[in-house]
Amino acid sequence: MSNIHDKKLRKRKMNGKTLALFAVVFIAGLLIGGYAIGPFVVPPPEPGLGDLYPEDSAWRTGSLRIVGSTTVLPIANACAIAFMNVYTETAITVEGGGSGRGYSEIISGLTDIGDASREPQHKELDSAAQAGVTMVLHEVALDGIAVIINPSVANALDLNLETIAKIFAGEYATWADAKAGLPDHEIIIFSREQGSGTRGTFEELCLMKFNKELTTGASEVPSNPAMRQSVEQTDYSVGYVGMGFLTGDIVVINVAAEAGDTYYAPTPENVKLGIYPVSRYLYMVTNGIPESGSLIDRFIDFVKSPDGQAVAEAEGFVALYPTA
Amino acid sequence: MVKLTRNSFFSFKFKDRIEITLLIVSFLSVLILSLITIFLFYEGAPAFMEIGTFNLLFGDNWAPFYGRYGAAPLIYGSIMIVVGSLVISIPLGVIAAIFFAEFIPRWLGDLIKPFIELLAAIPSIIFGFFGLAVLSPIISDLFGLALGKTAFTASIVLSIMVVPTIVSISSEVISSVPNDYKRASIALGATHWQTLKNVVLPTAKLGIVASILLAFGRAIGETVAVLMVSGAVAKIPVPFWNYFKPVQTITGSIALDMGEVPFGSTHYHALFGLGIVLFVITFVFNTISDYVMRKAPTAEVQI
Repeated sequence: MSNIHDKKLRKRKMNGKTLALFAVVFIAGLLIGGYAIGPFVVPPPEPGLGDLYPEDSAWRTGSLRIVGSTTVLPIANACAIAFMNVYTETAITVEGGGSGRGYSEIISGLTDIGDASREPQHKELDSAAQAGVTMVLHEVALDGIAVIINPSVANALDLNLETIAKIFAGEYATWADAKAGLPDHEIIIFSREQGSGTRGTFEELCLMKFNKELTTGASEVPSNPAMRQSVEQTDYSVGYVGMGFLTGDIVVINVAAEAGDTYYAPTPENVKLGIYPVSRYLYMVTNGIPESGSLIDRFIDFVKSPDGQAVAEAEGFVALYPTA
Repeated sequence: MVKLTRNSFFSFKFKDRIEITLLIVSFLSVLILSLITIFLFYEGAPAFMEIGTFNLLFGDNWAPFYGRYGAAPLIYGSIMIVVGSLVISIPLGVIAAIFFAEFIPRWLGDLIKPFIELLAAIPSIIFGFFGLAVLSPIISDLFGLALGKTAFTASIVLSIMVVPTIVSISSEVISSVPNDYKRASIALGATHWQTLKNVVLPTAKLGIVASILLAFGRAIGETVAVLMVSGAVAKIPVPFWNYFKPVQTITGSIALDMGEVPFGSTHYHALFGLGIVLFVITFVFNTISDYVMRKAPTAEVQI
């Protein structure tokens, strides 16, 4: 009995071994086949975006990690894809996580490029100095912050900056208090999370100008898309988003810098001219000036080039200079 | 019957190697756990020094942007939602547990039990989806609220999530009440109901309490689902028992702010400080439930 049992066992073991061998051969075959076929499968570079640097080559097989602001994320992402379409051997990974994460990972050396939608705060400059990191901010695009309302409030609305500040400070009980003719209904305020770059800029450019503070009665949402969605779905609500996110069933408020001024919509033209009052630069941050000819240098050059700026514009942001 | 002693079980060649491997692996998990704890306290301690323990725990204004770190609204929001969810889930869970342990035919129990256990295995974000897409519009319509994301909504979502914990542990405890007790009671002329009320439940009482404490621990640590439906307003509702106002929780605030917070700032430490508060709360409740569970008489009485 026991002998038969042993034989059976041995047989099974052999089977296991052969199976493992087959598996190894199979996987190896896949890998080799993949490498052999790979060059034929990868799509050829898109026409229009030509190779800007036909001569040098050190950076062409490099890899790069970008982390940070969710506002800059669409630009970084689209630029990375466009860049990798031209320079197919490079590997660029892009992650969100917020401006704070962008700065902290640059300071701790975890990432090559940090995205930020605000300038660094004191604490961040201190810890950068401590770590011996010189943060260099590269402006990559302009962004306007749009104040948006649910269509239940009004189909179109002009407000000056001070009224908006008072709304977000929670000084009006109802919409009718804020402006005659609006519904007599409680204002539902949405804000971004504490420390968000968008929130910081909005508080700085709108509320702090009038020595106001954002009310603690505001409902906090974690991202630009979540903000747009919340305002879209909640009657009598108001919120603010980066202008790259203006889609869907929402009404965008036209803003005047002071009472009596002209009202301007957050359009790329108005942000470019500097007449829309709530606008800001978006940054990519590096540790020191990137070494000339490194992949970091090449990528940031690309983002700031007409091609990269066109990508940023296609994502709904404002180019640094007029593009063709 | 073969008697499996430690020696006979491990008396083959690789004994030492296996024992050492097991030792290292178990030591590793303890080590990782203690490192996490040390890290939490290391990063959180500055908050208590910079802000002050009293201000952090009892200050009623949470506005880190303006340098104000009173976490009372967050702590209160967490407690409010957890208490609300327990008020809903304890009756549901305990009654279901009694039914499962005492009344249900075996085949039906075997059929339904896996579903309840599956409920515990569903990722919490899916409950969040449900709360956001289904529950919050209903509540907003039903009570005429502008914002359907309230403490009440979050309580309901959370109660669905903790019911399986209560049911599975409580029914386990109830069905492990020794049969001798029940037989003795019935032999004395008590009905099934009287036996249940006077013998089974009092015996299983501590175990049921332990399951509720465990549910509390799970509920207060829950993040994503609650964040999606609580409304995330860091303000104590007025009046304070108003469950139809949005609130913010400790976990929600940590999850929201952590991504954007400047590394090493007071705000950063304050979030870790909140983590310590949460850690202490869950630690205390888990320890109590562990203690209570051990006190439960069923195990030692069993003959």
